[in-house]
Amino acid sequence: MYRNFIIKPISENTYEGIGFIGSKNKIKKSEFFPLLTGEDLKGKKVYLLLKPSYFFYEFYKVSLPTIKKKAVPYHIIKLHLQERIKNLGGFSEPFEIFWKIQNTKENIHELSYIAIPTSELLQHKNYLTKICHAQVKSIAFLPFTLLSIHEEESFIIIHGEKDHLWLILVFNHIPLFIEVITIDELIGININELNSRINFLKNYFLREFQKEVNTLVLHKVDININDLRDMKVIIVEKEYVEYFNILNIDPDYNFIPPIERAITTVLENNYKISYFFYLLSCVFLFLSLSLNVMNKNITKEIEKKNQLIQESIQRLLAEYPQEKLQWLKIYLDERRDFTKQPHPYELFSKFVHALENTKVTSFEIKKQGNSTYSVSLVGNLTIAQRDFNNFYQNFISTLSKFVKINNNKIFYSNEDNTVTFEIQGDLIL
Amino acid sequence: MKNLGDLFFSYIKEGYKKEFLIWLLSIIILILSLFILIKELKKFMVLNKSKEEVERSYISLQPQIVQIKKISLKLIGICLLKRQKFRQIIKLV
Repeated sequence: MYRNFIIKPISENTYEGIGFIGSKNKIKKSEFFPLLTGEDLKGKKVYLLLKPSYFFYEFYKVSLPTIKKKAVPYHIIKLHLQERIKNLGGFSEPFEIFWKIQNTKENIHELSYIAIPTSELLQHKNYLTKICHAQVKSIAFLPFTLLSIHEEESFIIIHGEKDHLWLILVFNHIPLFIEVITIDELIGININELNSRINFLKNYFLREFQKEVNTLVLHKVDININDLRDMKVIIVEKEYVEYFNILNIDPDYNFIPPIERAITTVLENNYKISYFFYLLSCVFLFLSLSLNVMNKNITKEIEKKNQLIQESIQRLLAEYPQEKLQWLKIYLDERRDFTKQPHPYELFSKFVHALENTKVTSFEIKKQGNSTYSVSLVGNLTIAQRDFNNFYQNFISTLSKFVKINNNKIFYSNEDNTVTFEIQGDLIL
Repeated sequence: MKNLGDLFFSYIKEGYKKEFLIWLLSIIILILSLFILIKELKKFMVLNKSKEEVERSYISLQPQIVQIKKISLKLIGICLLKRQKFRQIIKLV
């Protein structure tokens, strides 16, 4: 029923946790499950709260070189922290380090880091991913989910689990000190030990930050408040606060490496985008279908029009047998030839217009080829000498409109003021 | 350390198989639908052009047919006139 689970390990392959419906920012429904097995978590989205049996946590200041924009290279920090843990003799087996740079002043960095055995981390991660095929969204260290449990500047949290207590010193939402105190099955919580540890934390805080911590936040712990009377005690009633805080955990406190988180983000975004792709595909297919229907209609229309054309042609051919068509062809050929021939009336009209006031002594039109007619024209005109140029230009330009002049001879005789012309050329049809 | 590709495929294999397959299928369907759409669109454009041509030829054919008929009638008229003249000449002779 529930797609998302926030779980806490009980034993090797069993968990307790909360199943919820909705997004991490808006939970619609949730339910606590005291026992969850791999079968229950198969294919689910899982947020894992880790409470390793052995870990090393420290908040300390370190001087490291910065390269660009005051950022310290990832591998330099990693190597430095590995070296530090080895020197302190923290682990005898491979371990993973996760850190957060809380503050940077010049080259001094305030780091909070945690080292946990690789086997402890991979045990649950591999079981959940490889066996249960669950999508592990976040793996967080349990104390880190309790930092925002209270709003004061500094306080000590005591968080109770079934067989142990978590003691966390918090300053400005930064965990300064994290400790586990085991609960004895027979005696229960050892108040004296708890008091001594609280005093130690108070002294540590006073020594390191020159401030006092007077607030004690109790979560899921059943102890006599009178035993802690020198401190202001706040009891947090919210039962599953650590579970829901993992949903908005600082990415630096997430034990899933950034590269793996980026991969899961890409895969999840792809999955979300795929719905849009399906929608787009549906639109495309709908358009294709509409076009297909339109194409079929157009094809039918074309076929219909083609058929009509064919029918018209056939009808025409039926009306005009071969004999009729031959006559028609003869008529058309004759008509074409006729239209190509020059029309005498038009031609004479043009010549009369061009040869105004002249005396034509010889005028000849001869058919040379299929549609070529040669023209030969001889004549004379009496005009004054000063008008000769005007006459010459007008005469030639008017004649050139319908005769392609090949040869012209035009003489002017001063004796009797006579122009004699001889023109030879072809008719322009 | 695993390289990015191996890490990617191990994630797909372990927890994101369904999501990956749905995404892959959506891509395939999208490409196919786009291919079909382009094909239909091309067909539509070609058919539209052919339709215009057929319509144009259909419209232009009608006056041509009418013209042919007119010419034919004219021809028949000329023939009849010639025959009549021929008969008149025969009568006169």
